[in-house]
Amino acid sequence: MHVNLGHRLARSEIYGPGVRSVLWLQGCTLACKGCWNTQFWSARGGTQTDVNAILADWEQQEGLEGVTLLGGEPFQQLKATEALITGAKRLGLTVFVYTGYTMDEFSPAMERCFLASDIVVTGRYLHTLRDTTLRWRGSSNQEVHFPTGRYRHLEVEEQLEVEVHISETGELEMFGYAPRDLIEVLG
Amino acid sequence: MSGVWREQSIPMVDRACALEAFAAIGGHVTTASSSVLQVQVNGREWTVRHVNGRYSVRYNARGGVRPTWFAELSKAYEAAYTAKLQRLKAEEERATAEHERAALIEERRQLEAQRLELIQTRREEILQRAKAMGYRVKETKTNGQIRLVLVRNG
Repeated sequence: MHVNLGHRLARSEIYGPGVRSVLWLQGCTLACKGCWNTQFWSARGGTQTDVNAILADWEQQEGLEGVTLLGGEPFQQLKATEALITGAKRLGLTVFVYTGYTMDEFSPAMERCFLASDIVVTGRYLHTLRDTTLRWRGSSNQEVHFPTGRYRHLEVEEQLEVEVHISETGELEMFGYAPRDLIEVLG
Repeated sequence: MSGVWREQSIPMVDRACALEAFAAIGGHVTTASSSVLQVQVNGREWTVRHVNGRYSVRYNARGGVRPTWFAELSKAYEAAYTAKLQRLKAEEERATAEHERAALIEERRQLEAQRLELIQTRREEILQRAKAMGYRVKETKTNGQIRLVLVRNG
């Protein structure tokens, strides 16, 4: 089975608790106004990647607490998303999923993915409710759920988190909901 | 109407490799000074600024043409840079005269020093600016990559 990936990050600390491997799934028809990840909207972009190869990669990485799936829209590649969630759980990793759908829009397969995940952020990004001080969300209508109870004691302290990676060649990558002033000074 | 300008930049510390990379993506450098290059890519003229080992292009984010060739340029530079390091290493091994060998080793050492200096400068720049803006910074290093997590409350 393959998943269409827009981007991949081996290790990050801002997309959920602990060190996590992060996948941006390519393709999203929700097209929220003001979305930060418009490059992941088209289903034609991205790289078809073998799900088993991703799982093998996660298995080899040391010190991973979990994985995070975002996009694009993970729930628009449901079979692959479900396989990634099941596979990650089998490896003892926790799962964090971002979806633009709200719970009342869930299909049975979406609900299965939701229930198997440890943390899920639901809801469209609404530019009018944009709030960069929220942890793990971009707008205040979005909700954080803890379906499995694995993180039920976790206190989500609202804070702005941005991650900057400097590669071996000096190339800079920035992740998270960076406010404009920060982008300007780091750009 | 005011425009929204964005800047995209990539580090290319070795100028010869940078010029090689422009050529590899089909770019034609029409004029070049130490700080500005005029480059034609896909029939369009671009102004590329060169500051502290970084080459950058500005473009209009609202409806302007984006420098989509930048990612390709980065890959081409990496390839040219790796090839240069390999060539210097091979020449070192072949060089019989001691002074020739020493010169080649020195050239390779300088390339590596430039690369490390660029990374260090970028790191320092980010740390200083982020702290001045009230961010707490946590730094980790994995396989040569520096990861900075910037956190701010409220």
